[in-house]
Amino acid sequence: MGDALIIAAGASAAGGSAALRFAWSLPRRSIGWNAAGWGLFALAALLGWLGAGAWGTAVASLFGMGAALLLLAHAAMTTRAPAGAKASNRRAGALPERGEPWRLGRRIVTFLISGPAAMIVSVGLALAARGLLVWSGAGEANANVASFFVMPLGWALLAFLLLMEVRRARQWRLLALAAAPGAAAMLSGLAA
Amino acid sequence: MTLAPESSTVKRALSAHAAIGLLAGALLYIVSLTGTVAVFYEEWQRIEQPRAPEMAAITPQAVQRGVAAVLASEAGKPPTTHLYVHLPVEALPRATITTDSQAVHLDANGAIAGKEEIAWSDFLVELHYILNLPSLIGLTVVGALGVMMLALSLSGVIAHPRIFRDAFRLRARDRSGLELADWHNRLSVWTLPFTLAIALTGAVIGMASVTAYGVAQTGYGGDLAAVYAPIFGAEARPDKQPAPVPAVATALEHMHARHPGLRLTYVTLHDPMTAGQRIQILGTPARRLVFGEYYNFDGRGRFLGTAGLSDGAIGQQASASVYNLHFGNFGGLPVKIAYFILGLALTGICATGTYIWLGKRRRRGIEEPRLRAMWGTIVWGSPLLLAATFALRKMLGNGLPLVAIYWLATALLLLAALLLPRPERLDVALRRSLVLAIALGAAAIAL
Repeated sequence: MGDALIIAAGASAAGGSAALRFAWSLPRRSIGWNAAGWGLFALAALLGWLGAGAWGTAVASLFGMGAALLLLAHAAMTTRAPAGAKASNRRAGALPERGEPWRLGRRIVTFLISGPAAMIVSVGLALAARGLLVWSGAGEANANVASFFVMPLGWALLAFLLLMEVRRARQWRLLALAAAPGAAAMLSGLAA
Repeated sequence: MTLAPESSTVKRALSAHAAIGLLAGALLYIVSLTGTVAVFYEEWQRIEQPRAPEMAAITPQAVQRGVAAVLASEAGKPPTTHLYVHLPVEALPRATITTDSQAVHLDANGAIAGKEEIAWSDFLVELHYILNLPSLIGLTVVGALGVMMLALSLSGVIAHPRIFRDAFRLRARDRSGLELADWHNRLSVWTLPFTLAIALTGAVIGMASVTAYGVAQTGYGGDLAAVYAPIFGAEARPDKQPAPVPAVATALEHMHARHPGLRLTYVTLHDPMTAGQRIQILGTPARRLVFGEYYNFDGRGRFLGTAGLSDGAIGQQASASVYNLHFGNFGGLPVKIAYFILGLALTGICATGTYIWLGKRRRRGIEEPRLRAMWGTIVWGSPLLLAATFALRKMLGNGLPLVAIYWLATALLLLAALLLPRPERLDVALRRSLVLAIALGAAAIAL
């Protein structure tokens, strides 16, 4: 039974890639084909889980990605060179254009805010999450492991949101907001 | 109604994406490349030292003899705090004992057959794991790169509103820059589940020390080991009184009798030859993401209990699943091959990202031949130096200072990109050298 479910999960994931390939080749958006593609992915995850838990879902996802890469390889081999299409030159603003000032100080502060500062704040978020889980009776192992996941997830999200802010004051405000749960957990003794 | 983000959001997301990519790009590329090659860590060990004794299985008595022989060989030296026995498994059918000061192979009878000589395989893994830096710093830097990869995935999706709609559009024959953007964006979309899994697990592994430090300070009075004890089990209370060689054979026989189908991968001895010694056997259940379950025994081989990694709290199971999900060793060779291909795609995404950014600047009239040559040095020089160090190791022996060779050569190549009068030529030279180094490595394997 487990084998059959894993095979069905793999087939469903590969079918999902194929269905989306078809859906996105249509001249107009097709709700039905889009739903079929994403639905097959969801079904693959479910069948994989029923077949062998997290292992089954992980294996099913490899089938989906494998099928998509095969379809991409086909596209790479068969698509002709586009006539008249131009590559983008939209500016990312990561470095100054010729003649523009470097604003090195501003860049360093941005790095410090979204790097080390956001990292420390994320440790606070992790401590708050751990404290909350211990307080709610989730168990020590679950709480400690949750903190290991919350920290990098929190940092990644926070770094992204900080870099999306144009104004420095809003960055500080966001950082302070994100630091509040950690500070509250430590001051209230929840993190202990 | 549309779910597409506003243009200002897209612009800021692109800016964030470029900023993170430029800051972390070179190290991310090296970590992705080495992770891809290190998927075959066990196979590399067999290639690197092909004459080590191999066996499908080893008897408990042979393991016992091996442990006793290794411990006897260390009499008079500072006692080892841990002793690890790698048991033969399909991917690496070798019995190897590692202590604090040495690593040796055993033959099928448990006799010491010679030193383990896998300097290049270990160098490769350490380059991926810690960038050859001191352990704690390196692990944290690589963990931070995992965080950056998560942020890049998020910002990349938001910066490209049509990224899913165009997910199968690949204009590989274009030469104006579209092809690079297409490769970057298409591979990014279709490897997204893999990238997120690799980035998150890598970040969790790498940043665990930082988080654990915070948890230890606030929750355990600074005791770092106490943070991990509820997850992986606590170390036994040390008792340094002398004791005989632990009864590893008795513990292994218990495992064979009680868990006949279970794949046993490691025996770990804690504080061997002391009264507080413990035996820990790692058994890996089939079709699970967890790296295994710890079965604990006292020094006489009496079963004490399990740690609960395979059937304990969900947090324990999640924590034990992080490693296999990251390294791709949860489904034998097929999964390793899949991870290798996906890893190559991820490495390609890292490489093309900076090339796209350089290309856009060039199209706006900003020529940066030296910057481009430096990036080319990272992209082509890194695999070149991996192949070259492998070939050198095979030809000149296990004692080569591989870390120094790799990083000095990287520094020299970057310097060349910075100083050469025609830096664009370096790219071609590096590509040709890469082919040559791979051929040399292959020849060294065949000899």
